[in-house]
Order: sequence, then structure tokens, then C-alpha cells
Amino acid sequence: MIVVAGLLVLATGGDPARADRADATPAWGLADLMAAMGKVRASSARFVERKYLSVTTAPLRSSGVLRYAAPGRVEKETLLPQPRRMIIVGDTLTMERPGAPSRVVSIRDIPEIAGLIEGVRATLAGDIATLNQFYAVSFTGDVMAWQLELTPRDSRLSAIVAHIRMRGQSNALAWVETQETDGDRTELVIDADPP
Amino acid sequence: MKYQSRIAVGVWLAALVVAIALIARTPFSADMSAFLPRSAGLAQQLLVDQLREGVASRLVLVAVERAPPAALAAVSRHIAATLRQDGRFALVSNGEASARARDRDLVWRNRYLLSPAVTAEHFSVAGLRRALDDTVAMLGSDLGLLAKRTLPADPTGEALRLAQDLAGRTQPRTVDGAWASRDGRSALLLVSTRAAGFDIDAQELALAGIAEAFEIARHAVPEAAGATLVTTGPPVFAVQSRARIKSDAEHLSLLAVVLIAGLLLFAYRSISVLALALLPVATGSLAGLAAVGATFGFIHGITIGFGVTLIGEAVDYAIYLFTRTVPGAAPRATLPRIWPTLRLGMLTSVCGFSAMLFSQFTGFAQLGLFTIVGLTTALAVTRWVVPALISGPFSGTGAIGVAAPLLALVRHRARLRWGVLGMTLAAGLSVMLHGAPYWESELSAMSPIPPAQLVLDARLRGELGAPDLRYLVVVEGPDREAALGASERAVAALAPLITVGTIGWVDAPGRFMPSQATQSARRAALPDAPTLRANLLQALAGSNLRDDIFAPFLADVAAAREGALLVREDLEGTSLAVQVDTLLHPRGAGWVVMLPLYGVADGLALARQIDGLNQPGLVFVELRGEADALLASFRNEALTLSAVGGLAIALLLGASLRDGRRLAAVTLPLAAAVVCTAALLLAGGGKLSIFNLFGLLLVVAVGSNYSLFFERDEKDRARMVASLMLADLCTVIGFGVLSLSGVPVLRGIGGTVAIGAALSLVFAAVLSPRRT
Repeated sequence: MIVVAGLLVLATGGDPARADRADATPAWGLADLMAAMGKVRASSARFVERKYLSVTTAPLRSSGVLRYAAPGRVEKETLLPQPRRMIIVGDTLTMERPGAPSRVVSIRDIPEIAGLIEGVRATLAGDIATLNQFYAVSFTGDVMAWQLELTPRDSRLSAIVAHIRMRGQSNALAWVETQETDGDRTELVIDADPP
Repeated sequence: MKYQSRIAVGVWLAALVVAIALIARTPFSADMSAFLPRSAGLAQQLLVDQLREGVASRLVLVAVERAPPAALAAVSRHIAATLRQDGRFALVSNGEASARARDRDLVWRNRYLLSPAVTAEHFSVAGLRRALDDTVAMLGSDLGLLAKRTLPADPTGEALRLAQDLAGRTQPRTVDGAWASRDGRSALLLVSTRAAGFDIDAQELALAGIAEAFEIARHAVPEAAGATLVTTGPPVFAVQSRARIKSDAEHLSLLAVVLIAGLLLFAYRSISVLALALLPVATGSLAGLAAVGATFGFIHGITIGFGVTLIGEAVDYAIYLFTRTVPGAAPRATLPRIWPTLRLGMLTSVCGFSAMLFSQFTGFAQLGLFTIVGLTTALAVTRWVVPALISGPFSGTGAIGVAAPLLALVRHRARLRWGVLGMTLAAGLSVMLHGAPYWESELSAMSPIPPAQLVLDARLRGELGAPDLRYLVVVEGPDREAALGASERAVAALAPLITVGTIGWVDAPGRFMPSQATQSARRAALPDAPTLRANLLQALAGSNLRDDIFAPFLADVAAAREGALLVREDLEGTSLAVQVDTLLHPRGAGWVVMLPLYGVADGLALARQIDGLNQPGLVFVELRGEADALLASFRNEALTLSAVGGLAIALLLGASLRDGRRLAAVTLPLAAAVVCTAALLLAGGGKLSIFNLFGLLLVVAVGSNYSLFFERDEKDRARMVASLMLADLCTVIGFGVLSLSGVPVLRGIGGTVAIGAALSLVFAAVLSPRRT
């Protein structure tokens, strides 16, 4: 619940975390965030995703469970509105839907999506090298409330994605926003409590 | 030169000119179909088609290794770029998305003709609503980014559906945009040559092109200087096998010729006699080839290779003539003594081989004709031409000394013969009691491809997801469209087997080239603009999608309604053309379509279920089974021909010897040699192959001369035995050297004949009749 409270504060634009930093330890930065993330072996959390698209009259909402296992396995299981599952291991993307054969693709074949996936996955893995390969990374905040802004380096990706913003506390990712160049936007809210 | 000699030499020279002229005009062929039974069914014809020119026969699997992953990918892109410019290659795949742009573009433009989902119902209000629901679900997913772009022009998702087909079912992983092995240590490419698999010369050039492209790429990429290239696949096998057989045959033949020439020089001490000794076999080979060319219109490569081996007996003719000639005498004087036996020996061999003339396999028939004409000619040359070319008394001394060990055997034959009979009995029993199947049934065991290469092939095949083409469904039609239509009905009939999981998926030319009838039906199912607009608006009501963005969709459907149907020419320049052409091609008067079945776990269940579909005209082919069946029919035919040949020999000998005892004396050593050789081969190598069988045929041909001479010739025993010994040594040396080869064909024939010829002579000596 702390995370949710933090998010609410962040969403209103305040920055109470900065004030909380009473002790005189050196500033907690990107390297510390990546180190903390890198220590997480596995995690799972509920998520709610909203897509704000120009082609739709209302946001598309979906929800489910997000699972991560070090070093690079991400599973996104959507429960509503239709069950479907996406598993990324290495650069293989597997998509499963009830009643349909599962589809396996190499994420390198879909560079746009590869970039999006690596942005989130490299952050979860604390893999600064991969993150830097795809994005210019800027860090603000501290251990209690940090924010990353990722700006694509690759021209193919930057043609589609303006930036990705992530927020979280310590080693927990709480919020991801993907802003597309055409004005469409996706917002992913992660509830760190185990489902 | 006497008048008669002049005529003989004149006729010989004239015949040589005719033979050479005939051979020069005859095309040579390495075409496998000569070894297809004349009565072959569709399945076997297709098997041979596949081996000769099928898609699998043209596929080269390429791996680049020993460089950092990024450098490997760069080399892969370089190689692919070079090969795509090269007319020798029909298709180069390495995972690069840009290379598939033309395919995707074609599919996009023709999506309403290609998509199996297109029916009138699909564009009704209910159909559109269902499709839009799917599309909205797709938009909400993580692939929404892709769906969003095509939504206004393709709200029903036809292109996405087809893209899945386009990508194929299994793809290797990609590193830096190029296919890589799972461990990331190799970059992988799949290259299809334009030349058919049987065109080994063209395949050799294509492989050289790949190696060249790799060299250029290696030097263009800084970090890849130490990279290595590995290739495998049927073209590589074919080229390597030919090179190995050629190199082994050349080296070993050279060794054999040197050894045999040395032996004959030692025996006759004269180079001109050595040259004369080779005259019959050389003339016989030319005559045999000319006869085959004149009769069949082409000469198969195998006929030359095997045929010359099978008439190796002809070398013996000259040896018999020269060794039996007393120094200082004219060879002509020797002839009356040995001619009847030589003639009978030759006729025996001809009888043995004549059964091959009636073979169902053109290849066997060619071999039979070649051998018969070759041996007859060689003997005629020995009889009339060789003596005519020797002016004056013969100077060869002959190596009478070589006869000594054989003469010792003859002296002790009374004691030895029971040993030989006992040995033969034991050998016969061991063959009969040989528990395991004694015929080699695995094609791979006869293949000259080293096991390490096969392991590499299996590894790359697994990595590239290039499945072994094993199960096929085949349909035919009188023309292209009829065949395509039949294939579409077959795919529909097979659908339940995919549902129950017997088949993973069926490949079909109709994926990218539906029949004109199917395309017309799809085009006719597209509603007119007002209807589509009305249906779309109704379907959109209540959905999350905006209703003012679909103008491109309405325009594209309207254009498709008016547009032309897709024809084969439209595919030109895309990889789809290759995919369609390999599955759909003319055969005989009609057209045939192959539907490869993938993801089959249980072949027996599949065969049963296809049988249960009860679809006439739908032929199920299991290629490996057909290959085994073809191999078995070769073997059975070879066995039958051998048995018939053996019977013919027995009849001929019976008719000319007219005495049961004498017949037994001639045939017993032969039979004993064949049985003991077979037993030795089984004990040593495990299984017999068709090559061993050919070897045994040759043993009978050569060995019959030995026992005939022992049985009939009483005068001048020492010279007779020496001539046999010399002839036998030549055979054992020539074939013994071949048995050193690593190539199964050469080793099989070489070993069999060397053992069999040695045993034949020993047995002929030991079992020779007592003389008073």
C-alpha cells in the first residue's frame, strides 16, 4: 500500500521522498536502482493496463498478473477482458490464447516491440547495459520514489515511441507509461502486493 | 601379315571408329530415374523426383562460426546480399526482415484473394462484428502497436492472419537481425539453389559461389577475419560424394594399374605385350558403351563405372593366351588348345549377365547389355586381333614359377577336398543360421557421406527448423488449375486431422497461389461499397472503435472487387514463387501438387486416418518408406536376376559338358566360393548390400573360367595353372586395392571380388577332377 500512496503523491506532482531523506548518505542514483533491481530473483504482481488510442472512443482496459524471473523471463498473463498470455524468454516471444495455437516469434523481427519489451525487462533485471543500448536513460528521485525516463536511441523505435516513463520505490516497479509519437499512450499500473 | 590377319585388324579398326562415333553422339546421364523400376507407382516416381529435383535436393544449410555474435550476423547479411544478386540461387533466407518486404507487400495487396477467411458471411454485420472484436482484443494486447497501423485498411485482420503463414511455422532465433544457433555461436542461412539436385556440376558451382560470398564477407567485417564456413544439405552431400568416389576410384585404380602392369611386365618382360594384354578389355568397353548408346539413346554414369568393373574378366583372356604360349612359338598356335574353353567361359559369363537385360530397371538393363557386348567383343579381339598384331614368334617368357603353390594344392587335393567341402558346409550353415537380417536395408549405410557430416547436418537442420520432408499427400490434375483445385479439396479434407493433432500443419501452394476458382469465389464474396459501408457501421455500433477511420478499408475492398486475380507471374521476384513452384509442377501430361505434412508424431496413425478419409485421388506418400521399398525392390530384382543367371549358367554348362559328373566338377568350386565369400562378408561386416551381390556375380563370371580350365585342359598343365594364377593375381590385386576405399560401393565390390576370386581359384584347384 505504501507504493500506491507514493504513486498518488507522485501523480499529484509532489515529491515528499526528497524531504524524507534525513540521513547524510550519498545520493541514491541509477546505479543503486539497477543494483537493487538486479538482486530480485523473482517477483509477481497484479497489473491494470489502459491504452488511450486515437482509433478508439474509450480507453482499452485490461488486467492480470505480471511475473518476472531473473535473469530475463517476463510473463504477462491477462485475465480480463479476454484471457491471453505472453511469455518472453531470451528473444523469443510466445503468445498463447485459449483455443488457438500458440505463436512464437523472435522479438528482433518486430523491432518496435523488442524495444518496448527490453525497456521494461532490462529495468526489472537491473541490466543497465541493455537499457543504454536501446535508450538514453535519465533518473530522478531517490530510493523511496524514483522515476526513469527512457528516450529511444534507434530511429525505427523513436519513429513510434516518444518515451517511456517508469516509477517505483526501491526495487519495485509501480508504473509504466509508454508515449507514442502519434499521441497514443499506454499506462501500466503495477500493484506490488503478491496476487 | 597374313590376309586373314589384315581383315581382322581392318574390321577391328573400322569397328573402333564406329564405336567411338556412336559414343561421341550419345549423351551421358547421371539421372537417378534410370534406376527407377519401369512399373514404378506415383509414390516411387515422386520419391525419385524429390531426390533429383525436389525442394529438399536444392537446399544448402549454411553456418558461419568462430566470431563474435555481432560479427557473425554482419557476415550473414553480407553473404545473403551477395547471394541474392547471384542468379544461381532461388532463395536466400537468413532472418532479415527487409528481405521479406516484397513478400509482405504482395500478400498485403492481394489479401482479399489470399485469405481463407474471405466469405460473404465474413463481411456481414455479424461476421464483421466478430472480426472487429478480435481486432480490438489485438489492439489491447502488446502487439497492439502493429495492429493499430493496419486497422484503418484491414480491420478484419486478413494481413495479420496471412503474415503468420508467411513467417512459416518454426523459425530460428535471431541475433542482430540474422538467424543464429541457440548457443549464439553460429549465424545460420538457408540457401536454395536454382539448379536441381541431380545437376551436380551446377551444385558444385553454386557451393563455390557460397564459399566466395563468405570470403568476401569475412574480409568486409573487421571482427570476422577468423570466421569459418560450414555447409551441409543434399547438394553438399552430392558434390562431396562424387568427389570422394572420383578421387578414391582414381587413386586406387592408378595403384591397381601400376601393380597389375608391374606383375604383367614381370611375367612377360615386354611393354608391347602388356599393351596387347589390355587391348581386349579396352575394345570391349568401347563396344559395350556404343551398344548401350545405340540401344538406349543415353549412357548412364553408373553403367560406365560398374560396367568396366564387370568386364574385368576380359583382362584374363589375353593372359590365358600369352601365358599358354610357349616362348618362341606364335600365339596363334596356342589358340586351338584354349579356344573352346575360353569360349565356354565367356558364354557362361554372358549367360550370367543376360538375365539383367530383362530388368525392370533401365540401369540394370544397360549394365547387362554392356557386359554381354563387352565380353563378346573382348574375346573376339583376343581370338582374331591380338594374334594378328604379333608378328613373328612370341617373346614373352611367362612366369611359370607362379604356378608352384597352386600345383602343390592340386597334388594334395585328395586330402584337401574334404576340408574344402567341410568349410563350405560350415559356411552355408552360418549363412542360413545368420540370425540378424543379412541384407543392408538402410540407405545411409551405403552412403559415402562420413558420419561426422551427418551429425552436422542433423544439428543445423534442428537449429534452422528445416524439417525432414517425410510425409506427403499428393494430388494430380490434367492441368494446373485442376491440380490446384484438387489440392484445395485435399487440404480441406485433411483439416480434421489437424484438429485432432495428428498433423501439425499442411503446406500447400494454395497459401500463396489459390486456384482461379477459389480466388473468383473470394472476389465474388466481397460486398459492394454501399453494402459494406452499411454493414461496417452497424457492426461498429456499440464497439469501442471510431467509425470515421475506415475509408482505406472501403477503398481497398472496392478495388479488390474490380481487380484482377492473382496469377503465377505476379509472384515473380518473391520467395513465394519458389515456395509455390516446388509444390506445384508439371508431371507427364498433367500437373501434380505435393502437400507436405509437418508435425507428425505417429506415421502409422496418420496413414490409417488418411485411409479413413476415403478420398480417392489423394495419395499418401511416406518418403522414407518408399526409399526403403525402392531399395528392397532393387535387391529383390538383383537376387532374382542372379538366380535366373545362375540357372542359365547351369543349363549352358549342362548342355555343353553333357555329363553330370563334369558339370559338378565345374559348378562345385563356384558354388563353394560364393557361399564361403558370403559367409566371410557376413562374419566380417555384418550385412550384405547390393554391391556385394554384384561382386558375387562377378566372382561367378571369373571363377567359371578357372574351373572350366581345370576340368577340361589336361595338356600343358603347368602353363595352364600359371595362366590362371596370373589372371587371378590381377583380379585379386585390382579389386583388393578397391576394397581399401572408404566409399561403400567401391569397398563392397572390391572386397567381395578379391575374396571370391582367390577362393574360386583355390577351390577349383582342390576340387579339380582326378586324372589317371
